[in-house]
Amino acid sequence: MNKTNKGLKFAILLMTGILLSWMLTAMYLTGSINLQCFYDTGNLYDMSSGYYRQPGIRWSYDPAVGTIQTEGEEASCYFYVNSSQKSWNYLYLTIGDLNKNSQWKIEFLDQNNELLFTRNLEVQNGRNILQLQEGEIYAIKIIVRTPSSFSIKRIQFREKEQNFEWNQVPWTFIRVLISYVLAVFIIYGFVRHYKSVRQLTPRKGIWALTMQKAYARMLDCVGALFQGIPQKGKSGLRKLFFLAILLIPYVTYRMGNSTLMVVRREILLLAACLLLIALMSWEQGRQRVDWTNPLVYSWMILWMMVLVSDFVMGRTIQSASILMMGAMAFLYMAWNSMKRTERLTRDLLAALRYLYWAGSIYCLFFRPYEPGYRYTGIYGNSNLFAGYLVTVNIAFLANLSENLGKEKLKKRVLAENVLGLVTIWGFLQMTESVTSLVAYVAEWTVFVWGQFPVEKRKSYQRNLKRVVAMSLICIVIVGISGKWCLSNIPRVWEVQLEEQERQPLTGQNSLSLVTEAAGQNAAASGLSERLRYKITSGEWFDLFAGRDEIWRNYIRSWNLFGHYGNLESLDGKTMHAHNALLQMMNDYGIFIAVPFLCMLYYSLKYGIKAVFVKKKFGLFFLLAAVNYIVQGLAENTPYLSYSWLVYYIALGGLFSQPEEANV
Amino acid sequence: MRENRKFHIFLLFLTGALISAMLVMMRLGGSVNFQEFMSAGRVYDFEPRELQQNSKNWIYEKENKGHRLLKKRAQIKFLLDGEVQTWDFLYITVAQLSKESADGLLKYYDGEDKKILEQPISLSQGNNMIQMDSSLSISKIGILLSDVQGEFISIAKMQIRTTPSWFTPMHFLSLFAVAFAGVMAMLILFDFFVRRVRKGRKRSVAWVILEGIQSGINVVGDFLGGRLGGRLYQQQRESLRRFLFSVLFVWMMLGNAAGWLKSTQMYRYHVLVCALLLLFISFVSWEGPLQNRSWRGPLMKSWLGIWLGMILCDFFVVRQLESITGYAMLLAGSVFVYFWQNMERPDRMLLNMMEALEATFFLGILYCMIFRMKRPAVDYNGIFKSPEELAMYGVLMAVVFLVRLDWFLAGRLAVSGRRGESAARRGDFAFCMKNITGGALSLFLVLRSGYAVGIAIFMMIGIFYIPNLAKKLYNMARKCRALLLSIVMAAIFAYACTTAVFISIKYFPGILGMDFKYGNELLLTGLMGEEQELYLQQYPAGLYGVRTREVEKLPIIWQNYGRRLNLFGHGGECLVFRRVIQPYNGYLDMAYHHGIFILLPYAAYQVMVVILGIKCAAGKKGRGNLFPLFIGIAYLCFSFCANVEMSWGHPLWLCYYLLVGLLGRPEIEKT
Repeated sequence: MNKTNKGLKFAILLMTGILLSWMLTAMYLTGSINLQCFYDTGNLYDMSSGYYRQPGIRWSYDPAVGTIQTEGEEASCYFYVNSSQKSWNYLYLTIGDLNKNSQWKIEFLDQNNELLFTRNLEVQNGRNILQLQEGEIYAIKIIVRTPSSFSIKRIQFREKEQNFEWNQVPWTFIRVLISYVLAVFIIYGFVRHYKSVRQLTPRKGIWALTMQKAYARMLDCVGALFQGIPQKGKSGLRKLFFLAILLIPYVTYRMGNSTLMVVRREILLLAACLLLIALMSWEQGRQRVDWTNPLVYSWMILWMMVLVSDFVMGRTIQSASILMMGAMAFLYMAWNSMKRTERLTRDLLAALRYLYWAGSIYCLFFRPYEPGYRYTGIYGNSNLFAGYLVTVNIAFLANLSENLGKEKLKKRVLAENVLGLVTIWGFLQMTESVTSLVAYVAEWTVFVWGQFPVEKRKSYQRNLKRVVAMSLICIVIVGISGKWCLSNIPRVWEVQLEEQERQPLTGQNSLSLVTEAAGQNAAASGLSERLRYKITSGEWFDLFAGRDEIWRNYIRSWNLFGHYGNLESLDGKTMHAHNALLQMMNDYGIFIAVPFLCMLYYSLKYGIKAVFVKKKFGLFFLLAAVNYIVQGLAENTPYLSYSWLVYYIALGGLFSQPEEANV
Repeated sequence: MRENRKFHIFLLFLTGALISAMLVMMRLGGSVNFQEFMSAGRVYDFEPRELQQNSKNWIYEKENKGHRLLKKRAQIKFLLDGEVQTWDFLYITVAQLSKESADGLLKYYDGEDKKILEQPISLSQGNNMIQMDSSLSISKIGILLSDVQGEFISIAKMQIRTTPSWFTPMHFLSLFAVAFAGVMAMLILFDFFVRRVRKGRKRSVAWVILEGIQSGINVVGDFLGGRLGGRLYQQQRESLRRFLFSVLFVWMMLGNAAGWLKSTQMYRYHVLVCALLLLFISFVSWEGPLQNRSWRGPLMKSWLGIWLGMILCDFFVVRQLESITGYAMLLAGSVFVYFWQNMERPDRMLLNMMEALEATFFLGILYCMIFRMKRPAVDYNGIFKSPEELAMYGVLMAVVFLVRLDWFLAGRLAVSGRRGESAARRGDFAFCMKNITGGALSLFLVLRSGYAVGIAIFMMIGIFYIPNLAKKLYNMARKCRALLLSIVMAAIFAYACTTAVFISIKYFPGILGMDFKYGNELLLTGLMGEEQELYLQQYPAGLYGVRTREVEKLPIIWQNYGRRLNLFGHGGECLVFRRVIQPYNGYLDMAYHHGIFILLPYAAYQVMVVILGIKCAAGKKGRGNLFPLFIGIAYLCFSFCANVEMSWGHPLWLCYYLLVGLLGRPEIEKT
C-alpha cells in the first residue's frame, strides 16, 4: 500500500465523517430524525439583506458605517415578504449596534397593504422573537418610536421556533465526529484482523475492470459496423457530431421551455451523438486501457449515487447518470482505445472553435450591443454568455499552446487563434461577469504556467513574437471596429430575435442580482470599480453578490437523497445554488460530495500530470478542469452547459492511467 | 429462416392493419392528430345503470328492457360527467319506442340544479342526434316527453360530447378496407425496396446491437454469476432458486394486494425489489462461462420490442408508472432470459419456478382460510383484489398442477415400458395427492371467483388436457394399477380437502374474527333486481361497497379507450362513467398506454408463444411440455376481456413474459 492510497482513504473517510457528523448533529439538535431534511425546523424565509439598506420615512442607511439612522419620532420602513409562503408563526429579528434600547412597533400588512395586526417590541441587541397571529403576511412595517441607530442583521420568518442555540453546534459536532473516528478505527481494526487471519489479498479494482471489459466487449461488437470508415472521414464525422453535441444544449435553451420532455429528448440526442463518436473512434484489438485509478472509481461511484438518487426522486430517462453510464463511458473507452488519442481531442477543439465563430457571426449580424447594458451575446443572459466564452477560450488556448512549439506555425492557425482569443476578451468584458472573469484569469494563468516546461527553442521564441505581434494587430482592429460593428451592423436588419434580460452595466440603475449587490449607493462605473467595491465593502453579501444567502438556504435543506428541483432562495425566487458542489448536494444528497470532490481533485492532478508528461493537448484537460471548478465556485454549471459538457468529455482523456494501475 | 419469413409477413399485415386503422380514425376525427387519432374532444357515455334508473313518471321494466311512461308529460334527469361544462351534441339511441316519434323538451341544469334552458326535441326509434346550446355550462340534463302516457321507450345508449361523431361500424369498415388495400400496397413496395437495398448484407444493425447487449450481459454475468452461482452445488442452486422464486411471487402478490401497483410513490420500489430478485435468481443460475445466444428469432425480437416500445414512449409522453415496467423487464428480464438460455438443462429453471408457484399457492390457500372470508353472493377475491385476478391465478395454478401431473405420468409410463423396472415409486401417492389437490383447489378458486371468462378458459384447457390424461390413465390401467390406485386415492383426498377449504373460507375467518379486507378491493355480485332485494332483506348491509357484474358496460369501456388511441400513449388511466376504470382488454391497455404500434410486438409475441408452445407440447423441443402452450392460450384469451397487464403484480404475467427464456431459440451465436 503506498502513500497516495492512504491519503486518499483518509480524505474520503474524513469527508464522509464531516458530512455524517453534520447530518447527525442537525438531526440531534432539531430533535427530529428526518432524512428528507436534516435541519428540520419547518420552513424559513430570510429577507434578502439588500432590503435592509433601503431608505424609509425618516429612516436612512449609512453605507460608511453600515448602520441605519432614524430621525425624529415614528421613523418607519416597509419590508416586503416575497416568499411564496405567506403564513408564518414567528418573526426573528436580529439587531446589532443598537445605541439604546428602544420601543418599536411592527405592523403586519396583507395583500392590499392593509393592517392585519401589530406587535410592540422592546428591542435589544441580538435576537428578538415575535409570535405571529394567523393570516397571510405580504409586508411588514417597522416603526421606530425614538431616534436611534442600529443595524439589521436578519429578518427571518419561521414556521417553528428554533429549539436550540447555535453555540451548541460545535460541541455536538465534535462529539459526533469523535464517535465516528472511534467507530472507524474499530471497524478498521476488525477488518485488518479478519484479513490477517484469513490471509485475504483481494484484487483491487476488479469491478472497474469488469465494467471496462463490458464496455469494450459491447464496442467490439457494435463498433465493427464503423471500422470501414477511413480515418479522414472519421475525423470529419467526429467534428460534426461534436458540433451537434455542443449545439443541442444551445438549441434547447433557445426553445425556451425546458420541460421534462424537452430534457429527455435532449438527453437522447446527446447520447446518440456520443455513442456514434465512440463507435467511430473505437479501435479494435487494443488492450492498453486501464481504468483502475481513483478518477475512474470516483466517477463511477458518483454516477452510481446519482442513479440511486434519481431512482428515489423519481427521475427516469432525464437522468444525467443514464447519459454518463450509457453513453459517455463508451466514448471514454473508445477514446482510450485509440492509438493516437489526440485526434479526438483535436476534433473536439475544432468543434468548439467552429461553434465560437458561428456564434460570433450570429452576434455580429443579429445581436446588437446596447450601450449601458451588459451584453448577452448568443444567450439572453450575460452570465451564461460569459460562461460559454470562457469555455470556448480553452479551445483557442490549448490549440495555441500546442502550436507554439512547432517549427512552422501556420499563418491560418496563428490568425485564427489570436483573433479568437482577442475577440473572446472583447466579448467577455462587455458581459461584466465577475465569475467568468476569474475563470478567464485562471485559464490564462494555467496557460502561462504551461509554457514553462516547454523547451525554449528558437522556433518557440519566434512563434511567441509572432503571436504578440498578431495580438497587437487584432487588439487594434477589434478594439476600434468591434464595438462599433456590434452596435451598428445588427441594426441594419432591425431584427429583434427574442427577449433578453436587460441587465444594466455597473453604475446604472440596476435590478440584477449581481449589480444590485455591488451596491447602488456605490458610485461604481465599470468592471474594475465594481470589483474594487466588492473587495472593500467588507460585507459577505456584497462580496458574493447575495450568493451567501442562497448557499445558506441550500445548506439548510441538505438531505440524504436530494431534491427534485431547485429551492426557493433569495427573495422568494426559485433559483439554482450558484455553486456546483451545493447544487450536486441539493440534487443528489449530501454524500455525493465525497466522490464529486475526489473526481475534481484527480481531474486536476491528472491534468497537471498530462502537462508534465507533454501529452498532446495536455493543457486542454487541465484547462477544462480549472474552468469547471472556478465557474462552479460561484455560478451554476448546470447539466449540459458548455463548461459541464467540456469538462466531462475531457475527463475521458484522463481516464486511462496505466502507471496508476491498482492504486 | 422460414419462421422469420412468416413472422415478417405477419408483421407486415399487422402493420398495414394498424396504419390503416390510424388513418381511418384520423379521417373520422377530421384532422391529422397524432395525440388522439379520433380528435373526439370531451365525451361522456352514460352508464347502462343510469339508463335504467326510474323517475316519478319513467318506470323501468326489466323484462322489457325499457321505461314505461306513466303521465302525459314524463320527465327524467341525467347527471353528466360530474363537472359543470359546456356540451355540443347529445346522441340518444332508442332501441324501442311504442309510437312513431315522441316530442318533448331537453332541459339544461346548471351546477346548482337550476333549470337554465329548455330546448324542443323529437325522439324516434334509432339514432337521434341533438345539437345542444354550447354556450351554457351544465351539470345535468332532463328529458321531458309530451303526450306519452302509457307509452314505452327503451334507450339503448346515450352519449354527450363536444364534437360530432361520424363513427359507425360499417363506415369504419368500408374506410378501413380501402385504406388497408392502399397501405398494404405501399408496404409491400417498401418492403421490396428495403430487401433490394439490403441484399447481400450479412448483418443488420439491430443484430449487431443485440449482440453488443449480450456481450455486456456476458461480461457482467460472468463476473457476478461466478461469484454467486459458481460457488454453489447444483442442489444448492435449485433450492435457492425455488426460495427466490417463492419470495418473488409472494412479493408481487403482496404489492398487488397493498395497492403498490397504482401508487406513484411505491411502484418503483416494488419493481426494484422484483428486478433485484430476478437478477439474483439469474446470477445464482450461473453454471459456467456464458455464451451469446441467438436473439434473432421472432419471439425474442417481439419480446424485446415490447419493452423497448414502452421505453421509447417516454420521449414523447410524461408518464409516472408505465415505463418502469419496461426498464425493469429490459434490464433484469433480459439478463434472466440470457442466463436461462445458457443453462445446460433449462427445464430445471421451469421446474423450480413451478415448485415455487406450488409452495406459494398452498400458503395462499392457508392465508385465505384464515384471513379471507367469502361473503354470501359476492364473488370471491381470494388473495387478490378482484375476482378476475383470482381467476387468472387459479388458471395459472391449474396449468402448473396439470403439467406436473402430466410429466409425472409420462415419466412413470416411460419407466413401466422398460423390463424389470417397477413404475410405482415411494412418494408417488404424496406427489399425486399434492398435484390433484392443487388442481382441484385451483378449479375451486376459479369457480368461487365467479369470473365467467376464467371458467371458460379453465374448461378449454381441460378439454385440451383430458384426452391426453385419459390416454395416459388408460395405459396406466393396463401397465401400472398400483399407481392408478394412488391417483384415485389422491382424487378422493383432494375432494375432501376442497370441501374443507370451501367450508373454512366461508366461516373460519368470521369465527376467528380475522377477516381481512384490502383497500380499493373490487367486490362484485351477480345479484340483480328481485334477487338483490331478497338478499338485502336477509343481509341488510351485505352489499355495501359491492358492484353488480354488468357485461353490457364492457363495449362502452372499450369504446372509451378506443377513441383515445394515439401514437405514443397516455399517462394514467382513462375516465369512464365518472371514475377510473381499467380497459378490461390487454390490447387496448397496451395501445392506450404505449401507443398503437406497441401492438405489433405485443400481438406477435402472443402468437409466437402459442406457436412455439404447440411445438413444445408436440415434443420436438421440450419433450412434450404443455406449460408454455397452456399459459400462452390462457393469456391470449384473458387479453380479450380481462385486465391481464398487471405488470409485476401477478404471477401469470411474470410466468408468461419469462417464458421467452424457455422458448427463445437457444442456439449459440456464431460470431
